[in-house]
Amino acid sequence: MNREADIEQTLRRWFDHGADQAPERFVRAALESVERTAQRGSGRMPLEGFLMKLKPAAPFLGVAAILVLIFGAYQLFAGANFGEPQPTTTPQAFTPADLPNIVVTEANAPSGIIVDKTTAHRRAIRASLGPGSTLLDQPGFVDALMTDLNTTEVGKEITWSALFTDAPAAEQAYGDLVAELAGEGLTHSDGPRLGDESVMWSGTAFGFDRTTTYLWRDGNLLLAAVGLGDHNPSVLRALADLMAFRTR
Amino acid sequence: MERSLVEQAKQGDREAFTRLAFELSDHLFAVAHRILRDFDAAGDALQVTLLRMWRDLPTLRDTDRVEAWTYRVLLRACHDELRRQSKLGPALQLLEWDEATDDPAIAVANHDELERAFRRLPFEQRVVLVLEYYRDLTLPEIAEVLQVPIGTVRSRLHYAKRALRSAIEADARPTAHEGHLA
Repeated sequence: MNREADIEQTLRRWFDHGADQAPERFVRAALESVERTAQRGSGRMPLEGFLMKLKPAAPFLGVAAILVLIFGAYQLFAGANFGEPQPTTTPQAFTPADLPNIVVTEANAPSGIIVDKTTAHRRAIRASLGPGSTLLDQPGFVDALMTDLNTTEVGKEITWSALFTDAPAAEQAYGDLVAELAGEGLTHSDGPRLGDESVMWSGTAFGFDRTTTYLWRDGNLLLAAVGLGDHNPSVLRALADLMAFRTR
Repeated sequence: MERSLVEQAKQGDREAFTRLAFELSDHLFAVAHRILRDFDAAGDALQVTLLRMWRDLPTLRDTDRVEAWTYRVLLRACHDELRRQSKLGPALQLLEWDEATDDPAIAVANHDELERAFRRLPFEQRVVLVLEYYRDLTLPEIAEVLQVPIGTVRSRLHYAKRALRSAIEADARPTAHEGHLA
C-alpha cells in the first residue's frame, strides 16, 4: 500500500473510534437557552420600523426646534429691552427618574427585544466596567441603570446610562471612561454623532471576539449601547438611536 | 433532515426545533468531537450550534441547503471553541480510546502520534479531514459547506495529509537523546 492510501485508511479507522452519541445534558441545556432566545428578525423589524417612523418626523422636529429658538430669542430680546432682567436658564438636567425612560427596560422595550436582566445604581457600573472602574470614584456620580438584552450563550446587547450631578462631572467621567476603554486596544472611530460628544469602538475585548460600543454624553448623562460577542450590529445601532431619541 | 421540521422551526415552532435538535445532535456532536478532540468542548460547540441554528433559522433562504448551512454553523462554533481553548492555554486532554485498543490495525503508539499530529493542524485542515474521511463528503460537497473553491479544498486536504505524515514520521523517529541512550 502506498503512503497516501495508508494515511487515508489510518485516518478513516481513527475517526471511526470516538463519541457518536451526544450526551443529553448538552442538548437539554441548549434547548433551555432556546426557550429564552428570540429568533433573528423578530426584534429587528419593530426597531427598524421605529427608525423609519423617525425619519419622516425629522422635518417637523426641525420646525419645532426653529420655533423654540424664535421663542427663546423673543424672550431674551423682550427681557433686555422691555422688562426686568430675567434669570438666565441652564439646560435642563436629567434626573434619576429619567433613567428608566431612556435605557431599554421591560416597560419600554420595542417588541421583539427581550430584556433579560436589569442592574441599577452602583452595581450597574461595577457590572459593566468592573470593580476597579474610575467611574465609581467620580465625585458627581448619582445613579446608573443597565439592561442586558437578547442574551444567548454567545453574546448579547447592553443598554446603559450613568447620571452625574451636572454636565462638567459627566464630561469628566466621559473623558475618564474614554481613556479607560482606550486601554482595551479596540478600534476607535467617530461613529454616528450622538448627544454632545460621542465615540464608537469595535474589536476583541471583555473576553469576546467581537464587540461594538457606542458611548456618548448628553448633558449630565453618559449613555452606551454595547454589543458583546454574537450581536446584531443593526439592532445595536437602532438601540443607540432609540436611546438618543429618548433624551431629546 | 426532515424538511417539514426545518420549515416549522424556521417559523418559530419551538417544538419542531426540539425534535430537530434531538434528530441532529448525535451527528453534530460526533463531528465536533473529532475536530476538537475534547468531549466537553464538543458538547459546548453542540450547544452553541443548536442555539445559533434556532436563532438564525429565519435567515436560511433555501431549506434544501440546510445540511451545508448546519455544518457551517457547527464549524463556526467549533472554531470559536478552539480559539477559546487556545486563550485558556493548552488543555491537552487526550481522548480516551478504550475501543481503539481493540483494533489491531492501529497500534496504540500510532494513536498517540495521530492525536498529537492532528492537534497541531490548523482548524481549516482538521475540518477537511473530518468531512472527507469521517463524513465521506465529496469535494464539491465540502466546497459548498466551506464556501470555497474545490481547488482550495483539494489543497487543504493535500497539506493536511502531508503535515500529518511528517508529524507521525517525526514522532516515530528516535530523538538524538533517545538514540544516545539506546
